[in-house]
Amino acid sequence: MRKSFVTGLVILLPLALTIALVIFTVNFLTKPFVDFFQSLLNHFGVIRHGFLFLSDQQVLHYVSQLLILIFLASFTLLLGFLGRMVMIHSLLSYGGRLLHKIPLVNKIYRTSKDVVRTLMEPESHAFKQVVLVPFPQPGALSLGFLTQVEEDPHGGVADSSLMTVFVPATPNPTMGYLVVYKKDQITFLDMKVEEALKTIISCGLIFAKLKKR
Amino acid sequence: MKKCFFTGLALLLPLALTIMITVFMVNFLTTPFIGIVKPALEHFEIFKKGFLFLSGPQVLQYGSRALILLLLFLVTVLVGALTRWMVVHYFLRLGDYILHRIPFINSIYKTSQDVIKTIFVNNRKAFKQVALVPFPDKDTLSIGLVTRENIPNIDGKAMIAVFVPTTPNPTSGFLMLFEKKDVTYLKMTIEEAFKFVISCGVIPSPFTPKTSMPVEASENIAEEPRG
Repeated sequence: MRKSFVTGLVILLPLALTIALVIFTVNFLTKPFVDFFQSLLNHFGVIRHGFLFLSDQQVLHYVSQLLILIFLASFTLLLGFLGRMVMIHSLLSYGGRLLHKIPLVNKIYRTSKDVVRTLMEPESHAFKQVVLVPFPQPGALSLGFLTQVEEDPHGGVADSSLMTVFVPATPNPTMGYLVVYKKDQITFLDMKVEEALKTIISCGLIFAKLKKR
Repeated sequence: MKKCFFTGLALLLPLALTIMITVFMVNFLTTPFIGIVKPALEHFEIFKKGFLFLSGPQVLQYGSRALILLLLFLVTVLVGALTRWMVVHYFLRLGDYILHRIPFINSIYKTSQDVIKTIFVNNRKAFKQVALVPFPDKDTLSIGLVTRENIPNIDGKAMIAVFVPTTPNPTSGFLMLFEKKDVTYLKMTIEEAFKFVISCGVIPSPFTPKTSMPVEASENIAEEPRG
């Protein structure tokens, strides 16, 4: 009985976690638009009947969520496609300039634009290299992610050049410390970002082999 | 009067906290399914009348929560028991294979599967040993839980992975690797360590090092907390 329960838990828990995370993401993305879409669907009276054990309200909710997701994806694609055309591009940059002129809003816009640009840049090193740093003191070692590399004017990286490392908290890596180290204090690891995250989320129960790169 | 009040508080507060946490857990587990079970029960009109001082809807609410908990337990046991049959095993493998193929979702699924498998399947020594480690600097000591031992470092030295929880909420913290000579294993149980952390050190527990440690290290540490 006890053994069966544990086995069942091992099978069901990952599934439940995955579903919970997916639902959380979907809700997060669709929440700002769900009212609008629901009233739109209500107006046209598309969905009037329940489906199986779901009431008509629930069906309406799920259908509008699905519609919003499809709409968001296609809108993003379309905008990216149109942004490559010269005409539209100038229009978009005009909109950007307009946003830069509004007080208060421009600060938020500029900051978020800069952050997103830097993260999305294909040649950026941010969060791609797992490192081992002596955090918080020389006797201890912590896993971290390299976020920023200070380069020489010649383009090389000297031993004394500074590097910014994000050391995540455990088991929730969405917060942590940002620390600056010299290059020779850092050990670059041959470890995937996913593996490092697994180590952090499991509090070190899963520990991939430490290999120098 | 004042004394009586505090005695009453000391008796009632632990009870209230226990009930609160239990209710929170039950709600957390049952909320995703209540939208399905409640209408079903309503449909069959099982809980139509109130019971004692509870009204009809309340009975319905609690009844469906209890039913969900029971069902969850039974489903878990059933799934665990069924895996011993070859046919079911094959279906589970198929489902696994499909989930591993869906982009985005597969990375979430794989990670949670790995983490949960390690926690449940081989928890020989994980989170069972309390230790004192030099955190955040050499002259300060913090309480931590040993999660893994004998992790080979790059230079071949065996390292110990220690989780140092934050206070008073131990659900976050820091994971670090220490050399064996820096870690002092304590005789403290996990419950004692958690009490110490949650109470911000108000509940004292003696820091007695395990005798198997090197003599000089245990002597150094034993003086520190008392002084």
